[in-house]
Amino acid sequence: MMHPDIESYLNGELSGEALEQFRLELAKNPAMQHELDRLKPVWHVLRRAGIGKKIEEVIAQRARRRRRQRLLIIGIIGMIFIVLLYWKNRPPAVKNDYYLPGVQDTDSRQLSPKVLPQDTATEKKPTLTPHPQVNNNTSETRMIALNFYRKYPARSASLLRGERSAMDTSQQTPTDLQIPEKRLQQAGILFEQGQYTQAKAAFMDLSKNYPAYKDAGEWYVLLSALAELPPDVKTARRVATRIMTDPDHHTYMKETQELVSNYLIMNLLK
Amino acid sequence: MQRITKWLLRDKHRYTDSRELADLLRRRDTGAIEFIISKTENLIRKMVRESGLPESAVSELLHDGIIKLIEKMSDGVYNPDLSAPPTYLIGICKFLLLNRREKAEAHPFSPLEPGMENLHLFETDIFRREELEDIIEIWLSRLGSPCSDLIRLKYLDGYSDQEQIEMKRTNYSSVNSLKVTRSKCMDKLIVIAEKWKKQHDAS
Repeated sequence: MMHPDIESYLNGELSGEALEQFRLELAKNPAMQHELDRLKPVWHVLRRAGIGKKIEEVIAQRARRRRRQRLLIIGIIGMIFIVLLYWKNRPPAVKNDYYLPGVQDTDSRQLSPKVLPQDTATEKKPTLTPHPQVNNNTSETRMIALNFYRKYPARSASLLRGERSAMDTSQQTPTDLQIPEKRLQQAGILFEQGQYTQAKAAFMDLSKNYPAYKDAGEWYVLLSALAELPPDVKTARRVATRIMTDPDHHTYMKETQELVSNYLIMNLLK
Repeated sequence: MQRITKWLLRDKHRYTDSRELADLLRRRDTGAIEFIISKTENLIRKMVRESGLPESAVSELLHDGIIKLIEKMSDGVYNPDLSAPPTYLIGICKFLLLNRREKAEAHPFSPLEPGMENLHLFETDIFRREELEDIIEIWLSRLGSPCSDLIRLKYLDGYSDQEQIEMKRTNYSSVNSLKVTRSKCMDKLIVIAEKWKKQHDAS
């Protein structure tokens, strides 16, 4: 039987006195040296395979970690991209029936802002105060108009809505479309800033001068008229009737019907 | 904050002592192997690219190079006072790469640092790990249980005798009894290997 220390010697497990003793014995005993020589090649193959296996494990582990890191980075970039995309396309903030004293908009310009005594004392904190001219009915009128605008904002309407128009825009060059497109955007900004009278005029101008934007213009005239304080019921009724009786099927027919049905409930546009 | 800085710089301050790193590599320590790979991988990748070899050659070269390095460390050929293990590994890989490209003669290997002159002692054939694994599997299957398990645990899985007993991976309760049994198994394995070699040489 092979001496058990031969294997330990090859594995480097002998040290100090034990190693010295083994070396002495090895020098004296040729049979032991022969055993060592026989074991060496087999031991060498086993050791090499063992080291190789360990290295393979480490390399594979590193590759797995790298893959995970790469996926994590891609995930983070993706998340940032989605957040940015959402941020860019977020619905525009639309004013409600409250105003901040001291902040001017079309309607509040005509009225003196209501400043409460405690505000003058502290002077800093603006308080949300119901608009003086807003009664329940007009407030609801505006809210409905604003909700519809929120659903179909002019900024996102642009060409998508224009393409649905009865007019053929395919023949128009990009430069032809740039001007009305800009005007639509600008009118949309006016609406979003709460300047409904100016927005109404801008949308009206757009619908009259640019056939491709006739439908979109009329629809936003309707919304602007209803968002005004007090609502321009006359214009709203006229435009709504025009849209709903359009023989070429108005692009915003469905939306107008929906809108009117809301006002019918309120007995405003009978 | 200190902990974060320490964590960020953990690799920079690890294994600054060549002797400690060599010792851990000899013991096949996972952290030490990872460390030496991280230190040399980029340079080896560059060398492989410059040689026009495929990307897969990087891991093959690292694998073979680290085997050689650990063997040289275990055999006492490597001297940590003359060169750091990563430098020595790059020297080995450069040599293996030249051999692989069969340009060893046209571009004689020049040692990067003193103490690396003995690199020419390496065998010229790059190790074929798949072949080696197959051979060992043949031997162990002929050896049968429990001998094959004892040898596998010690040499392929890398468990020390003490670890095998502590982790109850074997039925033996003392290191001595385990060593004696494995010696008997090694005896049998030598016979099997010699027989296999004769058959292999004949064919």
